[in-house]
Order: sequence, then C-alpha cells, then structure tokens
Amino acid sequence: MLKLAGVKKTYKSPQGFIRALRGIDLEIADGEFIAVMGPSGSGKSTLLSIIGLLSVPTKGSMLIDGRETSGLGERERTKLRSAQIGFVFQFPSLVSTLNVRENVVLPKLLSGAVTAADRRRADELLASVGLGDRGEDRSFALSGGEQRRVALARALINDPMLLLADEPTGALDERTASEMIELLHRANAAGKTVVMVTHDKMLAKRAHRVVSIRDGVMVE
Amino acid sequence: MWQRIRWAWRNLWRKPLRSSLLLTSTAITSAILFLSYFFLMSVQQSLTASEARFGADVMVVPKNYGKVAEQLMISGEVSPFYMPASVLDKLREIPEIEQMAPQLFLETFSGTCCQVEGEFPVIAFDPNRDFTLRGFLSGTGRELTKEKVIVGNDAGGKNAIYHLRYKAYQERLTLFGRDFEVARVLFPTGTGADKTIFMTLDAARELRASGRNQLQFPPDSISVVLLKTALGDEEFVKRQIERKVPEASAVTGSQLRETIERQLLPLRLLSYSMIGVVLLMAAVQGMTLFSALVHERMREIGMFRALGSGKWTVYRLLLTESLLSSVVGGTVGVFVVAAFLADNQAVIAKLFQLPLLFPEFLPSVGLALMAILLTSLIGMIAAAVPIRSILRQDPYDAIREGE
Repeated sequence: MLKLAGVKKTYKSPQGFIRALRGIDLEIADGEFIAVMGPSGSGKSTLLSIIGLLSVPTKGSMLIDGRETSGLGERERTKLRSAQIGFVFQFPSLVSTLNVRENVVLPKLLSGAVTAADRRRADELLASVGLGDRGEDRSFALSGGEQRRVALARALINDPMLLLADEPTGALDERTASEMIELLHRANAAGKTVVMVTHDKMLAKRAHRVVSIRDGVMVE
Repeated sequence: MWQRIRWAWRNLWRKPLRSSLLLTSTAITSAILFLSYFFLMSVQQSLTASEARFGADVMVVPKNYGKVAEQLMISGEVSPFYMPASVLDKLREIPEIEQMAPQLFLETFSGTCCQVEGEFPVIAFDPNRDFTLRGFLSGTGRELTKEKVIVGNDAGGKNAIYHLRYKAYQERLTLFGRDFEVARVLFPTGTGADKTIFMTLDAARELRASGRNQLQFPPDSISVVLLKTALGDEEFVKRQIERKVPEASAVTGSQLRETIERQLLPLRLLSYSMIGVVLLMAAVQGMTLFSALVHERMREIGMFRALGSGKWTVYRLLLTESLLSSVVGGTVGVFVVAAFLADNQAVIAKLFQLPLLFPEFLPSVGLALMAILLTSLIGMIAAAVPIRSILRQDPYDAIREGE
C-alpha cells in the first residue's frame, strides 16, 4: 500500500542545512502496525511527516496505493491527507476554544461544515475511546491521557486507511500509555494501517514490525 | 460559515488581553478616521453655507463702495453705507437674478447681549427673502418676527449652547430702547457675523420711525443686496447692474470663493495627511499584532493543515478573526466618537470657532459605515500578510517551528 524509495529530506535551518533523511526505502502493507524507533534527531518524525504528506521529500518517491505522491500539488496532497490519513501528535493538540466533541469533528469543520451525522460519529468514536460522556466538556478540563484519546478519536473521524502516531504515549504514565496503545491496536484490528513513532522499546515490541532509524538512514 | 465565525469569535475570546489590544487599536483607527472625515464634511458643509451667506453670486453696494464689498463679504462685518431701497425695483427688472436678499446696516450696539458685554453690529434683513443665514440656523429656536432677533454665536455668549440645544430656552435683549426676544442663535461662522445681531427690516424701520433712539440711517434705504443668479450669469448680471443701476456697484462672488477655498486648503491637506498617517500606522500596527498572533499559533496552523485543512481554509479562519475584531473594534470606536459628537455638537462648534456645520444623520451613518469598512479592510490586509508567509511553509515545518 505504501512504498518509499530513496527518500531524502534536507531542511534549511538557522544553523545551515540539515540532512534529516539520507535515503529511506520502506514498504508498509495494508493493515500493518509499524513502530519507528530511533534516538532524538534521527529523522523518525521527518519520515512520519513525509508519509503523512506534511512535507515533500527533497529526493526519492513515495507511492500510496501505487500512486506517486511526491509530484502532487498542494491541493491534491491536502485532499489525499484529509481522506486517507489520520494524525495523533506528540504535543497537546486539542483546540482549547472547542469542546471535546467539536475537537473530534475538527477535520470536518476545517474541510467544510459539520453535519449531525458527523456529530453522531464523533460520539461513537468518543464512546470507543471511553469518553462517551465527555463530549460537552471543555478540552482543557481533560487529563493528558484523555486528551490523547480524544486526539485518536479525531484522527479516526474521516475513517482514514492510515493512522500516524508521533510519540502517542509521550508524557503519559505507564497505565495510560498502555491504554493508548491498546486503542491503537484496536484501530489496527479494525483495518487501519498504523505507523507509530516511539522511544519506548516495550511499546515497540507490540507492533508487527519495528523500523529503526539512525542519522537519517534505516538500520533494521 | 456560521460555524467558522463562531469558532473565530471564540478564538478571539481565548486571548482576552491580545484581543482587547487588537480591538482598541482598531477602535482608535476607526475613531480617528470617522472624526477626520466628519470634520472634513463639516468644513465642506460650512464652506457651502459660507458661500451662501457671504459669497452670494453678486453683492450690490452703494456706488464707490465696490472695493470694500469683497472684504465685507468675507468678514461679515458691517459698514454704515446706504443706497435707496428703489434699487431693489431696478434689480427686479433683471431676469437673470434668481434671488435677492437685502440687508440694512443699522449701528454698532455697545452694551450687553445675552450676558456678554461688547460691541455688536446690528443688521436688518428680510427673513422671507434671505438665503444667507439659512445654513447657520440650528433646528431649535423660534420663528423670527418683529419682536425677535437672531444673534451670532459669540453674541449669544455662554448661553449660545443652550439656545442651540434647547427649544424652551428663552432670553431677552434691550436694543435701541426696545425689548427683543432672542429667537435663535447662529452656529459659528468664523467671521464677524458671529458678533452680529440680526433683526427684521420691518423692526428696524419701526425703530427708526419711533425716534426714541439714535438710529440715523436714511428712511427707505438699504445697505447691500446679496444676489443669486443663474449658473454662469454672475458677470453678465454684474454688467447689467452697472448699466441699469447707476447708483450701485456690483461685486461677484467667484473671487471670494477662491479666497475661502485657499484659506481652507491647509486644513484639508492636514486632515487628509492625518488620515493617511492613521491608515498607515493602523496597517503597520495590525501587521505587528497579527504577525505575533500567527507566529504564536504556528503549531496550531500546521496541525490544522495536517488534519486535512487546505491553505485557504486556514486563511479564511484567521481572516475571519481579523475581520471580527476589526468590525467590533471599528464599531465601538465610531460609536463612542459619534455619541460624543452628537452630545457635544454646540460645545465643539463653539470651541473650534471655525465654520463648522455638522452633517445630518444619514450622511453621518454613511460616514460611520465607511470608517468601519475601511478599518476592517486595513485589519484584513494587515492580517493577510503574516498569514500568507506562514502558510507558505510545509505544515510539518510550521509544527516544528511552533514547538
């Protein structure tokens, strides 16, 4: 389903150019659960951003379902991202001015208008992550773990094929982290392909496959 | 769209201090814009009124007084010269003359008028034919009759404000041995007319006939006649008068209008420059504020795009926030200034001592809407520049830089 070939990425930073990825070749099959591991600055988040169509490779190609994406225009990338990719970020990503349900339907709100069906779907997703009764709550009233679960529900609102999670358990205690991983596995079991960036070896062990990156290259 | 507006509104509330600064900035911009244009309109109205009052198309004065006539037209002061009232009959024979407003200069009254002591020139005029004072009459007050007088703004003293504001306010004045009621006080003209007392020609002639005063003007006389002619007939009428009315001289008003325009030019230039500077400052200030705002929200913007939002959607959301703050701030600014102006119209007019006639309600509303619109436009342009620069980045770069 997903194929990266010779992907390179160079950033311009105040310190100069940074070669974050130096040639990544990776294939991810439909329904796979992959953990991407590596030390800080190894390029794993950059890899996730390229897979998520958030940035364009400097060189190389990436195919989603056989379709080359590196040459796509901004509008097509946005469309593809909106339809096929869900994100769970490592930072607190809920919008504080919106309530929990509104946060879940945020992708719908951003791509047009929110319908009653969208709200029903949001409630179902919230129930599935154990927050069925918190839809009306303000997002800042939730704990860190609850916020991550809402973020997961939000990532699933468009029913994407690919779920990308960047350190989804970062800053969570062991029990909450375990619950979060369980939810990701449940999504995977429901047919979603999951790519998770993590530092945690224990969590990585629960994935189907672990991909390690160091200095921008894969060290499988 | 409503969902986006509601969300944008909530985003503004999320940062009350920053939003308050934004609102205050736009409120000040719109207030200054409104105020500047309001005064420009007032001056323009006043100029039109001044032209009607002093710059009648042609002014007819006694023979050999032509040279002093123009100065009189501008200053609105009086001079004791007279010509027979029969001049009016001769003028009526010139069909190009559309309106005639005769005036008779009585004397300069030394005494107290409306609790103000001083020298007050007294002019008699025909209220039915006069077109010169119309622009300076306030809506309040009473009709002018033989028993009443109209006084200039300075002659009205401190009480002028009450006369301008309250219909019920009454004051009496003893003039040449006779009691008169003050019917109205004129708005300031910025000329000698502000110190003048106006009465009817009938009242002046009755006073003269009574003989119980020092009035010495010749019977059946007038001092000047202010004329309105058909468009472009000024010079023609002037020549006709010189030919048909040998006892009078005629002066045209075009020269006077040029003089007034020239005098007002610096004020206009100053106002336009002020407006320009305000717009520029507002734009720069808005850009600074929005630049800080969008940089603070870079990660959020990147996240929105990661969640499937296009550039244009984020652009619209942030522009909606800018529009809302501009409209609300602009409305507040205009409302505060308009309320202040409406409540203190007479005080301001008196304070400025300039020809200043405030616009009517509808033009004022139009002006307010224009000020709000312009402020909103500037707010949106100011916001658009930093938003564009952020949206040029890859969503992932925005997220990284926002961390």
